[in-house]
Amino acid sequence: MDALKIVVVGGFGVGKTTLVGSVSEIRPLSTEEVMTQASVGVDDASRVRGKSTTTVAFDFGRITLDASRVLYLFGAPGQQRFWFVWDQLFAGSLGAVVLVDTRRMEDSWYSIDRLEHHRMPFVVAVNRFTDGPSLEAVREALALAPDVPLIDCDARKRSSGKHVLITLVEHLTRLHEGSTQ
Amino acid sequence: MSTTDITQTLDWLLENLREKTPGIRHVLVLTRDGLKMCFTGGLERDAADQLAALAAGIQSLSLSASAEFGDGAGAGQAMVEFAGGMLLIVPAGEGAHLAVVADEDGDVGLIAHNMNELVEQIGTYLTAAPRQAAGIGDRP
Repeated sequence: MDALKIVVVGGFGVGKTTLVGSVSEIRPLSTEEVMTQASVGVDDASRVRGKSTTTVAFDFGRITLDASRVLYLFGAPGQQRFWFVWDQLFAGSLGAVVLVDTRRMEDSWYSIDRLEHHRMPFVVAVNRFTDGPSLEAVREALALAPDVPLIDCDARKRSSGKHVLITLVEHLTRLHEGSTQ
Repeated sequence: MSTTDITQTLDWLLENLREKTPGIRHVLVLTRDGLKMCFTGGLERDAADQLAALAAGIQSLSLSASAEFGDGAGAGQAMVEFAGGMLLIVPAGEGAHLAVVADEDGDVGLIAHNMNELVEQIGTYLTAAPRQAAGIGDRP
């Protein structure tokens, strides 16, 4: 059985904790803390309705895709003050999911830059909160290379989150086959 | 007491904890979501931001450990030893934690005792209330 370490990254309040929680087959480890009044003016929750908690370390979950592959999922914290955790999460990871909220596209740039810097393969999943721009427009806005898979998802739905992960594993497999030929 | 008075008193109490306890380098009070509230003078502002974020992470992982393997009553005391120093964290008032960076050879028992004593004295002032509702007050 292959164990694959996967990281889930993206901006603040984009749905990383929700994705890990919805697909995990074990009780997910979650380090969500109540947002305090000290965070007013630091963490912009004005465009993330109903958000009252935030991840301060990382999320962890596990999903068995098939008889030969099990994924260990690590959800990164979104805010800048926790970015120092990312290096540890990236260590040993084979690939990443970048979650995007089309209303705050600019929040994804840091994730994509960082993954490109680490040369880690990734897929981009648009967590659809509202209708928003088409996938082609998102690809252009994020300046994604044509070979980076880009799909829609609903992070609250297990089947949708699983589809994102399968897309990533297929992408990794293609890259691996490409490099060994 | 006014807010300014309280802040000054807290700063003084943190300095006092540092001065009376051999081995303590820095003292910081942080919110559970990883933001600094007050800290001793020798700590750089950037380092205070770092310490607040990582101490919140440690306490949140402790809480998860307590939920999984303990009775889920919450984060207790945490201690991390590393070459060149150690970090101790105890829960303070609601929504806040007290963190201390100390020398490697510091007396852990004494440091922890003095930290808990401080929380007993002034824990009611070391609180970070939840935000009223997401979105309120974010924009000027």
